[in-house]
Amino acid sequence: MEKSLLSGSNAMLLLRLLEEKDMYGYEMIDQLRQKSDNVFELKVGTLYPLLHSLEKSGCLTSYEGEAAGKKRIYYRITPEGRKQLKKKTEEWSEYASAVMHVMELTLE
Amino acid sequence: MGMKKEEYLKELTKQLHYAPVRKVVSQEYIDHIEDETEYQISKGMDPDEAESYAVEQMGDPVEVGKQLDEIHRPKNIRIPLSGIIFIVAVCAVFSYFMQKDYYEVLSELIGEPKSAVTILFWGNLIVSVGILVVVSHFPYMKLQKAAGWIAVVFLALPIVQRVSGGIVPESVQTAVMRVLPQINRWNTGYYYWLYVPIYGLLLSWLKGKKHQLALSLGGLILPLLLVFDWEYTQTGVYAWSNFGFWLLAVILFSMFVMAVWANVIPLPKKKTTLAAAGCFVAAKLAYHAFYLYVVCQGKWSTYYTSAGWNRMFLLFSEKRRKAYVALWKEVGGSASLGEDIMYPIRAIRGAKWIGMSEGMRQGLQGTMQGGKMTESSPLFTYLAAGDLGSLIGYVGILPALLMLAALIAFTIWLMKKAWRQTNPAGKLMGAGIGLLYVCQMLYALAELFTLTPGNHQVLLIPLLETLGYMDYGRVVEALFMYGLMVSIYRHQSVSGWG
Repeated sequence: MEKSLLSGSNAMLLLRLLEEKDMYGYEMIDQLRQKSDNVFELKVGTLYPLLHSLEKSGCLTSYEGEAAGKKRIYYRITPEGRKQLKKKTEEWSEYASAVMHVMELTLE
Repeated sequence: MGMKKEEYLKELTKQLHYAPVRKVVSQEYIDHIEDETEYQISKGMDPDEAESYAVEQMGDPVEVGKQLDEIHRPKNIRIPLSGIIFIVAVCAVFSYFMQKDYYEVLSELIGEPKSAVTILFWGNLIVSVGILVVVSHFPYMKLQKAAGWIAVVFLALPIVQRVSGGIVPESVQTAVMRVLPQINRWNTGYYYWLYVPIYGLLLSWLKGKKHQLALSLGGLILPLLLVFDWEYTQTGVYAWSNFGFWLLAVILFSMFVMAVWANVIPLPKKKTTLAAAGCFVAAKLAYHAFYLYVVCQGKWSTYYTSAGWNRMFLLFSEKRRKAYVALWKEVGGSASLGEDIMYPIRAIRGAKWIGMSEGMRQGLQGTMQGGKMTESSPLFTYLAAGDLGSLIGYVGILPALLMLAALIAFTIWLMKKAWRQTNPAGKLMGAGIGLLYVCQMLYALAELFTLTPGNHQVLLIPLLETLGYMDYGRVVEALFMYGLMVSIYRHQSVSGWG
């Protein structure tokens, strides 16, 4: 998958994952891979700066939790994060719809 | 074989300029490498190869480190620090010129020659500003883990002092008073203002812990019980006192409600707000009912004057002023006491936009004996306290109100910055401290216009305390608190986990 198509949507994908449940970093990469049938392979080098940036902007909060007996930093979406997710989802839908129209494709 | 884990982490954290964040980031990366390594081993990879593979997946440590550094760099505090130092400087100039009229009295009182008093003034100022600068650079998040202990020790001190009859020997107190006057008032008044940021720390530390609600409420009620002055409540004259108790109650109740709105305490937001407001109003009504029916034995006239209601609207009514003066002459047994007690209002009579008011000029002339002010003059005590009225009387309406407006606006700005950050400790500490000082300043303004009962002489701005003499401790405390707010501003990008 072209990098440019992913660059604007990584934040949206992470927020969507966290909307379902709190997760730690490694879990997010794994979940993203599984849910996208291996299409999305988010690089670790992109993940943590993005998570920290989302936390700084108030879209996420973090806390120490436990995963299989090990301590991990979990992330949770905030009300601001849900707002941003909704906005980005609408933008993405508009974009995807426009592309489909140009390519004269329809969803099955 | 690629980079080893330790080598990778060293290279990564080298890019992070802000030291406190290195440990946190490093741990998160270690956890991720461990998870990936375990996964690869479960797929049959050799442990060393698995770790190398995991490290390789983490990306270029320099590039990633620079991105993280950009996110976590503390904010530049030049603007807020310069702002507060500028206001302190203006306050210090005002305070210095106001004190010059009674430096002779100060010298006699503390047994030092006049030049020593001047040195003390500047020394106090330098120490206070030094504390502001040091505290503003200190990463306040480091206090979070010790929040419980800090609260326990802070509240235990006044309990121990009361039970033991004083933990500080008198000789030590006398020696300390030469540098920090009024240190023996530690268990009253301003000591409890320091609890405001501690309560913010405590509330954030208790998040998610067992008995969170009970401990949060306990942390609110215990200091209020300690600061409440039962003696004042039972007297017939100073019942309008306990100002410290009521102001602290407003702040702590508000912080509890803020903690609910910030999702630190899991309670329904609107119901909690209404319940807190209701409790406060009920407590105030119960206090006044007790005072009226028990202490004043149901006599309205006694209650009316003792509770300080007769002080309201004095500025606007000559009739009320005459009655007020007559009452104090009767209570004090002195013809001049009634007149003297009116100094806060006299000081602003004939106030000018810039320059000394007529009331202040006459007051100074009237109390000078042989060109010197005496300690027995109530004007001395009034000026030494340093409230908004004396400031307006000395320098004029415009400079006084401009400074008040600047400090209120600046404090609110710092509060907003604190509230917007993700760290609940910073949020609650910053908002609590800001609310405390904004409330004090607005109360001082209301008191100036005699819109409040009693005569609290709420100091305009703690920064305007009489440096070098009476309550230098309040200046230190105020700059310590503002230093905390600037620290919260500085570290808004660097939050502790949770």
